[in-house]
Amino acid sequence: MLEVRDRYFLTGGVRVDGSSAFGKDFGLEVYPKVSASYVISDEPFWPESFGDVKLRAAYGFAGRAPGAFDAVRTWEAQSFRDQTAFEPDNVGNPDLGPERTGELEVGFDGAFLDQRLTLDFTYYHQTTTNALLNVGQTPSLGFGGNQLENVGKLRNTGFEIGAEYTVLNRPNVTWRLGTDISTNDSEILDMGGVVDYDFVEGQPIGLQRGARITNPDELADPIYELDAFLGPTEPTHTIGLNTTFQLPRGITVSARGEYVAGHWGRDFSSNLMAQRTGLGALGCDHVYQIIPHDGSYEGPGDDHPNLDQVRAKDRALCFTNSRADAWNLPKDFAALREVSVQAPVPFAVPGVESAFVTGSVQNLFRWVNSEFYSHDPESTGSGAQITNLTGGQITDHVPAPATATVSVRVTF
Amino acid sequence: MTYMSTTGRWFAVALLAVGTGCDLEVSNPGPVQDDFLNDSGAHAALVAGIEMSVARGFSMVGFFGADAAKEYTQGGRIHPIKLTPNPGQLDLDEQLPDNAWNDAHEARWVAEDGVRRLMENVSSFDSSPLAARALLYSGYTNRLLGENMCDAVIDGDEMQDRTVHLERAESWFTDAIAVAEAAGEADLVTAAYAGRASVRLWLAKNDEAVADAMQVPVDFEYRLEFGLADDQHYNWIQYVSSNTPYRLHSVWNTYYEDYYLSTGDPRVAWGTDPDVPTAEFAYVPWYFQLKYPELDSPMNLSSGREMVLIRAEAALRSGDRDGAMDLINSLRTGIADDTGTPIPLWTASNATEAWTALKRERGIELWLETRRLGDLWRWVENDVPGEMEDVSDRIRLCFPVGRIELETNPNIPLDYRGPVNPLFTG
Repeated sequence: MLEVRDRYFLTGGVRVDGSSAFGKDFGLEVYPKVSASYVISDEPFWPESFGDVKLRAAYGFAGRAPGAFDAVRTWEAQSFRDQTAFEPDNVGNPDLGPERTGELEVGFDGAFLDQRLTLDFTYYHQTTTNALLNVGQTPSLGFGGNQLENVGKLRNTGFEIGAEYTVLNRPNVTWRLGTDISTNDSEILDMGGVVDYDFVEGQPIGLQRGARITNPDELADPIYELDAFLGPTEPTHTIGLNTTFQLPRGITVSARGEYVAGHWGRDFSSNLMAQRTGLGALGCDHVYQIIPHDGSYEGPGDDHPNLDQVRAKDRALCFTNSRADAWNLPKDFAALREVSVQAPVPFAVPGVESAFVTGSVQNLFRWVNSEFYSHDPESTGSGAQITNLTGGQITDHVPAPATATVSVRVTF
Repeated sequence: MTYMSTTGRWFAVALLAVGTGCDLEVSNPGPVQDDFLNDSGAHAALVAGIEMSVARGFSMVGFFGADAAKEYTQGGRIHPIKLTPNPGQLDLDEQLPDNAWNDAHEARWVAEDGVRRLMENVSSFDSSPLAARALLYSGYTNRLLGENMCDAVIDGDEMQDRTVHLERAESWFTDAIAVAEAAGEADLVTAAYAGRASVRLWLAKNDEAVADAMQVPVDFEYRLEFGLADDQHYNWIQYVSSNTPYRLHSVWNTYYEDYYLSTGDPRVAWGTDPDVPTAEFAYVPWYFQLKYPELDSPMNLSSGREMVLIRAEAALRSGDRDGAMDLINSLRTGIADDTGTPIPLWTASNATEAWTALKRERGIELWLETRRLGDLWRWVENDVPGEMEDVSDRIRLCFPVGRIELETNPNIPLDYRGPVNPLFTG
């Protein structure tokens, strides 16, 4: 690291990776990085009233290696009729190598208004080459499933803002407001000629595809746009809000909420419930008031005396013949994550330096967009693993529980 | 005296390791690597793996194909692998029948790759019982594809006519006959003749089909075995039609419902359960098949009885109605319902009625054995006379190229839509 006049900072580094998981043609991978920061507010020309500001920028490379056996063609030994039997497991790819991500970050950290406002801003732009994606294999070539492949080029851009403002600062009362805002916009720039259902050039890196109902509110059978590109599986923007009140007598009240939006997911669980006669899907109760879910109406193409009261989207989703790929829904939601109150124990206890009682409630309130039928878009079953960027499928309807906790913290 | 710091020592060791050219290559332990299958000790498991893949392929084709061929009616959709939302329709826009395409193609590839591997690594390949089995299953998997898939796609290549699979099957069966004979595996020899007879009938090689069929005793059966260790190894016709609790299939509203009620023919037996009157769909009475009573009940790949029907069909093609009817009815003689009453014989006063008898008898004899869909397709395609199931509501009578194949195989045209059943009226 190089430091000049406690104002200019330059840091450099290099990382060298080698891995037996790489294919035979890969040797050592070199990942350099460099970052610089500049405390501009220390310059003589900077008015003191502008606060403290540090500018920063960084550029560097990082890599991700494939799994230990991804490059190797393997078979799985199974027991079939009491004998060992081999079946295709991993097709293997001897040319497999690490993916390489170059990232530019620029931003600033600042403190303004006599330190009452702190503000951090970062813009990032990542470009990944030789991206490791789980690419579907051609069934007639024998090995089905997916194979990790170095394909094409990906882009991730976005910004992150963190801010905190002290609204009120009295000897016995303090009120702070804070926010964290982040965005992400991803795109597959190039697939290197590989054709895959889930990874498509020009589309987000985690893509939800499915049947889009083009006439959702019509009192008619649904019209589908099959295999439509619906949106990303990961949120494109998240806005967090928090506030803290410090009141007389050492009492602290705080709350934290979050708005998450821009992502899509398949409610596989509701789809199964809709397909099962007599059970029915969550969020379809109002439809079942008109047409019971008893098999008397199976879905689009079928007839029912009350059908003219049911809109296209409900016909598509709520009955036994509902398409799984029509259950892809926007998952925008907002949640009040936590509200808590902390207060000191109002009496002295011999030998105890301090004691606090904290009461908190988690997941007290949730708002879900009207296009999502079930109650909680977060009740997902399979998350987005690094090699499976098409996660977000809801396989269970078990939401994060609303909980209330009381705790006592004692310091001796 | 000066000392090197700890960091310095590690750096020196690393420098020494790299500088002196240490071999840093690591052989991965773990899953079974491909080369291991070349070892003679692995060959029995290799062929067992072929049989496992073949079982899976036939299960999936049977599961979807029987619905499309009206051998049963869809009664539910609760199992994670579902029949199509539009019952019986092998719709290109549905991903669901992909399981049949994928598993059947994997089975073919595994079988043929097994043959290749054995050929390269077994010096006595020409008389190896394992090689004979691998060859036989290469034939059967190609027959499965040729009979059920609309188009042939081999090893990620371009689309070809489906008969390519049947010609390939014929070739594999021919090789299997030679190797099985040299290996002294009489059952495999007979099975290979039977398999070859069935594909030769498709290929309109009537005389050769009959000649092969004559090699097969009437009571011969060659069966595909299923396993119990994993639900992927089950006989899925049984698994998903039973109360496990899927009840996805019902014989209700099929030709076989009425036929069994009127004749009691045990070959298409089905039952009911008063405690569980409906399939998963409440409007479908649950009439469950009894052909496969257990999860691992075997399925016929070939039988001498099928050979009789091959001879009968060849006779009909050559205009020998009486000869054909004698053969068809020979299969019915000796079959009785559960009271001992013999099932009635077919009668035919003209060629059309004789073809009807043949079509019906093939449906009965080969019920739920992955054969009906192909029969319906070829009879429609060739405008063969005689009654059979009304298929005017079926978009197609074969599996179109699977969705994943379309999405990953650059040799398939992007605008592929698959052939439509010429009798389809919407």
